[in-house]
Amino acid sequence: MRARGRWAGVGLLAPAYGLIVVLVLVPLAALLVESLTPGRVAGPASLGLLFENYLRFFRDGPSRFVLANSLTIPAVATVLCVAIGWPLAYALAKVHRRRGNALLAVLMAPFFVSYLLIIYAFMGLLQVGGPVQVALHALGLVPATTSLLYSRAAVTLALVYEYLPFMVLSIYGSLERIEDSVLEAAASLGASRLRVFAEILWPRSVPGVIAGCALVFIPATGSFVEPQILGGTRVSMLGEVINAQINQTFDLPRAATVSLVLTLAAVAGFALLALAAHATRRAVSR
Amino acid sequence: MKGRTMSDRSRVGWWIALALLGALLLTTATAQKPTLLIANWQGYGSDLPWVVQAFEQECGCTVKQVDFSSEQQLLNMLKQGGVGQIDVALPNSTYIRYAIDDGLVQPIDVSRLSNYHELIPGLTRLDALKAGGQVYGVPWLWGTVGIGYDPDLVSTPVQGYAALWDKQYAGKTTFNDDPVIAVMTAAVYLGEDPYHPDLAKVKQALLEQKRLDVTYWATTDDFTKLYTSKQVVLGNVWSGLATQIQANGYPIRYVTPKDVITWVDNWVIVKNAPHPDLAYKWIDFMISQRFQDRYARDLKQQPPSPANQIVAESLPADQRQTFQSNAVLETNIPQQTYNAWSQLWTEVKTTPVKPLP
Repeated sequence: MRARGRWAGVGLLAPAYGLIVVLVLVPLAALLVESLTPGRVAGPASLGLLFENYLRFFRDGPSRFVLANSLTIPAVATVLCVAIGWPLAYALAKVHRRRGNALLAVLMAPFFVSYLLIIYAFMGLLQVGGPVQVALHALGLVPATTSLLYSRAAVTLALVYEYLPFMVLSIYGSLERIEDSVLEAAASLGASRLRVFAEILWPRSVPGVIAGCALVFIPATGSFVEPQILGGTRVSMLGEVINAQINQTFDLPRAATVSLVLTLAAVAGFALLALAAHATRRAVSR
Repeated sequence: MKGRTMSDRSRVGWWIALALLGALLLTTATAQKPTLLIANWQGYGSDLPWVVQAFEQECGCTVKQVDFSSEQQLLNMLKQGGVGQIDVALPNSTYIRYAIDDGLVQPIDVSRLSNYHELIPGLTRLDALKAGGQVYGVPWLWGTVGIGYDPDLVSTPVQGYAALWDKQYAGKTTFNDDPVIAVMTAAVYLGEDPYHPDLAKVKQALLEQKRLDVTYWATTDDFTKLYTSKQVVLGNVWSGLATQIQANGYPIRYVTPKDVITWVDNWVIVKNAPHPDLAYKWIDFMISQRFQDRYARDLKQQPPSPANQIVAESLPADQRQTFQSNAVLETNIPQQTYNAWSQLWTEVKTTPVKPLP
């Protein structure tokens, strides 16, 4: 009887397993196989090694630098998303509870706008003669003809704007679950606001923060339009390399290599962020 | 209405039936009309409403267009089912070679094109359009990639591609994001053979050049925005685009260096085209004075230079360009070379450089 039940469970889950195999494992395997085939432009220095594409990638100084960009820019954007997103989520979950849903809808607005439109809007804001540039110039902070575009800051800013809703939503979810009675008890027992934050609010929101990091950091590492349009010739990310290898050089093996390196690096980077977030939970509550 | 009789109602029924029958006849009539399938860039002359209307009237056919957004995509489209479906296509002078080599296009009997003799002889003579003594491509529009600059802000006269490396414009230049244009431009600047340059030197030069740029431009919109907002004062640019910017009221001076890089777009008839007769008619229409003249004068379309010599010579002086047979043509670049160049260009694009102050 029990055995039959177990088999029924397996049978019922089979379609889901099948989807995972077909949509996740097979493509990943294909990517790996592709990355092990010789590059389209093998060049004179071809060594005939199995992992030659990877070797070339890591031997190449610029590639390493661009890989570093692809991790640090999204990491900064993710931290900024937490810094801006946490208070927002708190306001929605605990302060403006009644209008929470309406405010949430407003916050979701960027979701409904094409990311290309957002990027071009940032271009308009930051370029010479754009409102932000003009305002900063009026304050005497930048010269009249200095563009704020084509910088790490411009790329980071656009990423924060695009991904902030993901962060707010996932933090909101974990903050909303904290019972008010717990907060009231803490207050009535004389805990300061800072202590309530450090011992209740922050530690219990960390799972939401970590989920938010996954939703922001990992996709942001693959950005290619943002650095291309807002970073110009000054800021490059690996997404642009993958895009160029596929659309301009038609070198799929190298594109696959870079994609896999980026995927692994993104997962490792996310693990670090998650560990850091987890560590703050203990550090703060101590 | 109460007074409405049975016969009124049945009359309405008759009208409806008649209308349905008419609609049915109309749809079968249009369905019976042959459909010419054209592969071209979106918004590039052949899909203008007046063009489609004029040709449909003339040929008694329907015109349908499939878009491609890169030359490679056109080749892929032809290889993956386009042959036998698409009638005519528009590869440039580089890619037409690959289309011929891969057997994707058929020879053209130019005696069936009444306007062929009006084309600029330098263009129809191009090797790139021929193979085995047969003609495969009919030149349609062409253009140069020269230097565009702001006459108010650039005081030293600009002559050649060296201006793109001139440090006094650091932080004020842009460069076209295209592997062939990039390598050829650097080669001409270095005095190397543009078809077989020393790639190590070219890469070094392109990296040096990159230090002057605020950004590379890929689409016409990119360049227009950069230029009209005065973020750049100088860059390499397509002749047609410079004409358009000038026509929109932004002063820009366009110079063609001595060894100017030149491209040509050409109509081809796809192998096993379902409607070869229509394909000939279409190409003849595309190179006719009727099309070329009206298109060349519509500056909003940023028209390149017409291949029809009579039209070319009738254009106002500031728009007229003479095809130089000694120009550096974007043509006859073997696939292997192209691969190496685009690999080099990808490397240049993603190598970080220190911007010049």
